[in-house]
Amino acid sequence: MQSHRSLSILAAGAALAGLHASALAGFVSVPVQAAGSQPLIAVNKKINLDTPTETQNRANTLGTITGANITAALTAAVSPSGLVLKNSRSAPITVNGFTVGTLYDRVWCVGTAAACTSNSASNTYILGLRVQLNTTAWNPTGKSFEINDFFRTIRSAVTADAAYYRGSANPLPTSPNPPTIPPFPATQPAPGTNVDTASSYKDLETLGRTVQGLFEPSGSTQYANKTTNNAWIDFRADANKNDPDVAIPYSYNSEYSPWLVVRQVCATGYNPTPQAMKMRLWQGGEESQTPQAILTTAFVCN
Amino acid sequence: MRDNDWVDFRIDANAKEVRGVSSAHSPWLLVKTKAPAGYSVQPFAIRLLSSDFEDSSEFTEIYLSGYQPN
Repeated sequence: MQSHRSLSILAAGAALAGLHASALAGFVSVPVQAAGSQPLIAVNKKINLDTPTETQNRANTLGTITGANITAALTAAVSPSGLVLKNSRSAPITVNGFTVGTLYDRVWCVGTAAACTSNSASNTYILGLRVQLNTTAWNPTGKSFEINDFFRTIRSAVTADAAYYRGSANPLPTSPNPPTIPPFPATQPAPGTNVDTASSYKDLETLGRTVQGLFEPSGSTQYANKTTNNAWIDFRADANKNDPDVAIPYSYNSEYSPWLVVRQVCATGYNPTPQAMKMRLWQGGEESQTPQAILTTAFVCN
Repeated sequence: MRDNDWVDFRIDANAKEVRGVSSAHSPWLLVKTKAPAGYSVQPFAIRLLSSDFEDSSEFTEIYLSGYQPN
């Protein structure tokens, strides 16, 4: 009897997991974590890891927001509350003196009109980032820069909600599920050139409140637990315009990251002056590249 | 591992040293070699490494352009 009971509970758990994977688009809660270590929150982890058919399940819409462009996607996600763009910037991403891409950094608030304080949405802000990378050689290996983890500082004492936007220009199909990979395109799609609509071709794998990324600490496995740091959020998603692990139609170059957005209550708003060393872009060496962190400037909540 | 294309000068430079005396300046580090085809500035000619950490994922290396024999 005991074994039957266990089996039925397992079956219920599997059904719930299936529901999550297929139905729950929109923001994923990333609550404040206890001190110590934490498992990363699975969003759309790679499958067939480290094999020629390594891929992601595009039918998994967990954590996605959708629309014609990032503004439309966010507007729909926060409806019926309004969305106000508060600030927007872009900056070159440099390493060893070479520009390897461009960072886009935006701040929205949830509410109506330009005033986001003292409204019904209670100072809810959304910080968003996206990168577009190039193929410039930045060290003697000649390889292009790959970002595996995107970190930015958040308010440490309050919960965070995170989501991602894949883009709308020439997207990968979202069905059928792997392992029936076709009709995925037989050649590398063109992602578009408008940062508001361009497509990323790799999905958000995991989320966490940590500043440790892929293979950190050294020797750890791909999805190992991470040391908690509630002041940072980690978006794990690969971006690389010339990725060594490309295996079409299972895996494509993704010169754009998705738009990676985090929503929090910021009781005293955000700082309109972007702050130094508040964003970390991490190349973990997934295909034996040199591990390299880039600390750069970002918008932050107060 | 031997690499005859590079010379390594091991010396600590740190304007705010955690242990002991700070040294904001490195010494001048000189190398004399034959350069029959002259010299030029090349990318990735200089490598600066900060690797005094137990966990190698905390290492930082910086490549800079520099003078190099042709």
